[in-house]
Formats: sequence, structure tokens, C-alpha cells
Amino acid sequence: MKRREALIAISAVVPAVSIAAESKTFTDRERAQTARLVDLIIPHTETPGASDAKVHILIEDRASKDTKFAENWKSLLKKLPDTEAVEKAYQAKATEFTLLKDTTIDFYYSTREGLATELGWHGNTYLPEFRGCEE
Amino acid sequence: MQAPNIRKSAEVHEVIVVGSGASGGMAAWNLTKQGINVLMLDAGTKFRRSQFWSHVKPWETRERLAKGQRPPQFYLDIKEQPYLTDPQNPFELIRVWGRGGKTNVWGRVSLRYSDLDFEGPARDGWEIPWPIRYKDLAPYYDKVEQEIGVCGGDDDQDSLPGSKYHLPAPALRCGEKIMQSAAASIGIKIVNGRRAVLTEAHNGRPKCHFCGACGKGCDISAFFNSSDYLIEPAFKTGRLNVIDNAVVARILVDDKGLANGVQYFDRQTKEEHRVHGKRVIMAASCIDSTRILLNSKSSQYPNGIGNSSDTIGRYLCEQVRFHMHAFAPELMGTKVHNDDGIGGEHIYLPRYNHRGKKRDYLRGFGAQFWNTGAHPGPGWAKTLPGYGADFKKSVKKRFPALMSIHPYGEVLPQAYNRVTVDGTPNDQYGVPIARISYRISDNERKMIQEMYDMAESIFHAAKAEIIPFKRGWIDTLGSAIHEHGTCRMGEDSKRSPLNQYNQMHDVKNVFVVDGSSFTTASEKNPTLTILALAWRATDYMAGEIKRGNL
Repeated sequence: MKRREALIAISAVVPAVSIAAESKTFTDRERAQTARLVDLIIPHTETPGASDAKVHILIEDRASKDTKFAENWKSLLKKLPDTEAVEKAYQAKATEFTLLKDTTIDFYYSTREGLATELGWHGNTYLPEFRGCEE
Repeated sequence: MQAPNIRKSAEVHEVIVVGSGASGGMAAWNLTKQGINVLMLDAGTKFRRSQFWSHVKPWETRERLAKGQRPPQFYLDIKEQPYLTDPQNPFELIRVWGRGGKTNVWGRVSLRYSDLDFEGPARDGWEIPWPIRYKDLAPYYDKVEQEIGVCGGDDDQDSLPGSKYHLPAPALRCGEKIMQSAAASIGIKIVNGRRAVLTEAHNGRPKCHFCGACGKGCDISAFFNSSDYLIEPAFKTGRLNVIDNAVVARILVDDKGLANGVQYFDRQTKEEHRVHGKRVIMAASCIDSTRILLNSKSSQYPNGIGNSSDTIGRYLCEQVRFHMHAFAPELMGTKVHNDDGIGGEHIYLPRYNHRGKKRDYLRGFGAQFWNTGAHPGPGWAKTLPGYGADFKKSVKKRFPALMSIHPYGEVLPQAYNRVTVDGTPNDQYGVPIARISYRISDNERKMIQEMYDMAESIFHAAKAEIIPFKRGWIDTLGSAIHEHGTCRMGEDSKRSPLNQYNQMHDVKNVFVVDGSSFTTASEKNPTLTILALAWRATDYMAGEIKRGNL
């Protein structure tokens, strides 16, 4: 069953959060920094990047509902003030880098921009026939 | 609970069925078809297909949740009905209380047991033998497949019988073809999967439209679920009544030790009720049926109804499984297909370890392949190195190329793997909850090594890029949702509670027809066999009723 697909460790989670238009969880500065950081992981190229997909807003919304996550994210923001810090954290396999990367992946690839526009997924629709592997 | 609060039904029902999933639905359907009146007790209510979120995209899910909308809540919250498990060896128990039970969202893998399975204990001597063989169940497999519709192959082998009643197999995805070819190159056969999905219209039901969202419930009922396929037709006979939100606590007995009714609590009002019946069929799924049986204590049955053998609750056997993933080089960077198909895999790897050299462990394993292809939720991206534009390209390149292998291995029945209720806290109705004690043995650990060898060798043969894994890791025990064995069938009443017709040796008017009745777990998904056993058991029951023996 698809439930099992959802359980396996390899799968990303579709975060159950709403898009908060007027969230007060982050300061303007924290919000802007979050947008810069997620774009470092998945930048705008010929397709939308993470902030184009509003990943920073989704993160803030999750933080507004999950105190522990909010605490961890604000700690991350302090530890990753700039690109140099991000690169060092990546090289050191630091937990704050893992949190940044994994959270960005979870959110970005569950948005229309990440899943449909970037990756080209076009499933969960009505098909008269399933043709399988064809060129 | 004090007597003034108990609501008693005056009617004495012909048969009371506890549970509405695969086994309960089959029991009710088959008995009503044969002119017998049935009262079904369902711990929940009907899930409305019109409310399923079958075609809600991931981003739309978020938007709907933000608006306060909710999809059907299939899975039982353990806060509502807790159970105890050892933190060192946690057992994951997944339950669906409501019409159709887990068949609303099940994996639909429909494999026939073979005599390799039924004869396993008799052959290797580990625990009691099954009281039936393939020939006993084959006619029922035929009938079940014709009734519910199972797609698949006619490729018959000793570990996985084929069927002339299978509906057409779906076309294979690219990754599935690659794994099938790679496995063949090293002598491992991968066959068409057998799945209870309608690849063509069947018995008046519409064919699948390949949206791949079966785990959210099918909005057109194009895969078997007990509610639409069995219970609704049973209603049409005019012989079925269902009480919703009836959380069964105990089977009641008379002075002679025969069952004469059931005690339940209303899930909404919490009121206690008692209904009376001439026969009781337990079909509440393995763990819940076992809990009810063990809690059904009386002067005649001090350790639970029908438990003179002291085997009810023991011999819990589930399966061990893990997940290995890789990318097919020839698919990297190629066109993204709609890989939804019938949801889950279109192929299956049947057991083969009974051939060739003798293993240093008993029993066997098979494998499934779901998540192969381009699917939402590419959490595997977290395993790729780097970040930035190159990382983004790397994810996109691999998106069409994912291949997944999920081996499932049998767990031997062990007396110490058990469900108990003695000394456990009470639930909200004042009924002791289940404690599940479960761990694997060296036998499974040895088997797991070969399961890893198998998965790795197929990916190596495919020259695939394997996602790093930790050898020996297994998924949480219980996560296969294939619980068996805690009320097993057997010829010897001193070692088993049930006879070959799922009837209690000790209490002739109680039958147990869910997965708890299996003598062994096999490596296979059990639902098709549960349906066949429940059909066979209720044929026997109906015959005994007509002969005046029950």
C-alpha cells in the first residue's frame, strides 16, 4: 500500500503545514536569511529555486506550529550567517547543515515548482491505459 | 461497569461477526449468501469514497490542510487505543477501525501460498504443521480471485502458484524491466506481480485509471476493499446488520462453555452493550482478536476463551523487511514517465532459496519493488552529496532512474513472541490493553544476510548506483502489517486453539478467521489467503449449521 511508501526512510515527508501569509514567528531579518539559505541549497536556475517556491515561508509556518523546530531553526540561523559558514558546516557534516538541506528538500520537492516544474512529475491523474516503459 | 448501564439486545443473532476487514467481510458475505443472518460489529464507520483525497496533489494537500480540511482518518490513533511494547524491541501496530478495515488502504499484493509454505513446518520440524495443504485451499483461491479480481501472471512455480483467473498484468516500468533482466542474468526469476487491482472492468466494477494514489483510498473502488466488494453486497441480501462504533471487549459464554454473545462499548457514547448470538466469528485482525480472546475470561476459561492449550497470544510471527535503492544509469537524465501504474510494483520476486545449496537457516524470503520510477517525495535526494546548482541537477537527473527492492522474510513462530493482557493497564472502557513482546532470532538474522546479498547482487548486475545502506538494518518490526499466529490452526488441540476450519477446539461455536489463525507467517502478503481461509471456514460453518451440528 502507499502507506508503506510513506513509511520508508528514503521517502521525503510532505510537511503538513499551511502557508502563513502574516506569520510573526520570524523577524524580517530571519525570514530574509532563511530565504537566502534555502536558495543556497536549491538556487534559481532555468527553473524555480527554493525561495521561488516559497520554501522559506513554509519553514516559517512550520516553526510557528512546532516549538522545537523553531528553536532548532533559529539556532541554525545563528550558526550559518553567510555562505562561508554554510560551506564550513557542509564540510564538517554539521547538524545545522543537515537540517538546512533536509528541510529544504522536504519542502521544495513537495511544491508544484519543485516536483512538477523542476523534476517533471506529472502523475496522480486519470489515464485510460498505462503503457509502462516506452521511449 | 455496573449492570444498570448495560444495554442488552433481546434478539439472539444467528452469527455475530466481530470486525469488517478482509476476513469479517468475507464471513458476512459468504454466510448471508447462504441464507444465514449476520450481525457485524464494526469498531468504526464507513469511509465515504466521495471524501477520499485520491487526486489531491502534494501541494494541494498542504493548502487543504491549511483551510482546516481533513482527509478520511483511516489509521487508528494509538492514543485512543494504546498498546504496550518493549522500547528495546518496539513493535509497530497499525490498525484501521472502520468499514473494510485495512483493505481501504492495503498494498493489494495477492500471492497464493504454495505447499512450500503449507508444508514448511512438517518438513523442517519447526513448530506444529499446518492442518491443510494447497489442494485444500486452491479451490478457494480460484473463487476469491474470480470474485475480487486479481491481476497478474499465469507463470506457475513451486513457491508461487499462478492462476488462470488473473486479470491482465500491467505493463512494466523501465526500472522494473531493468531489475527483471538483471536478476535473470544471475539466475533469479522476477515474475509479474499479483495484485488485487482491476486492470479491466470486472464483475460490474470499473477498471483502474492508473492514478497511483491507492494509499489514499480509491475513489472508484477499482481495487478490492471489503466494504464495497463484500459488505455492500451482503447488505443487499437483507440478512446483514452492522452496528457501527462497536468496540468489542469480550465474548460471553453460557453455563456449558459455549459462546452466547459479545460485550462491546460504543466508541462515541462509551456505553456498554451486550448482544446475543448462537455463534461468534472473530475477525478483528490478529492483535485485536487476540486481545479480545484473552480478555474473555470466565470460570470455564480462566486464561481466555478457548485457550486450554495456552497458545492464544503466543507464536506471534510477522515478517522482517528492509529497503534498498539504486539508480539505473541508463535511465538517468531521460524523459520522466508517469510511473504511477496500479500503485506499487508490477513485479514480484518469489522465494528461491529452497533451491540449490542447503541454507543454515529455515524458511525463506521474497521481494517487492514499490517506489520504482518517478514518484513524489524524493527523500533520497538527502543522500546525494553537495548543494547548489550541481546538486539540483543531480537530483533531476536521477528522478526517473530510481529502483527499489524490498525483501520480506519469514519469522519463525516462537512461544516467547506473544500478546498478553495480564497486568496491563485498562483502556478507556476498562478493558486491559495488549502488551506485545516480539523479537527476531538468529534464524532471521542469518536469512537477512542472504536477503541483503540478493538485493545487492541484482543492483550490481544492473550496474546500478546503489544508495548507501547499513547492512543488517531492518525496518521496525510490525511495519509489514502482516501479523499472524496468535490463534493458530492445528490438528493437536493441546498445541493449537483452532482446527483446520478455523473453529475453536474448545468452543465449537467460535471461529477465528483473521491472520491470527495462520500456523506460520510465510514471506508472503497474507490477505488473499485470509480471504480464502475465511471463505472455507464459513462454508464449513454454514454446512454445520444446516446439518444441525452447530
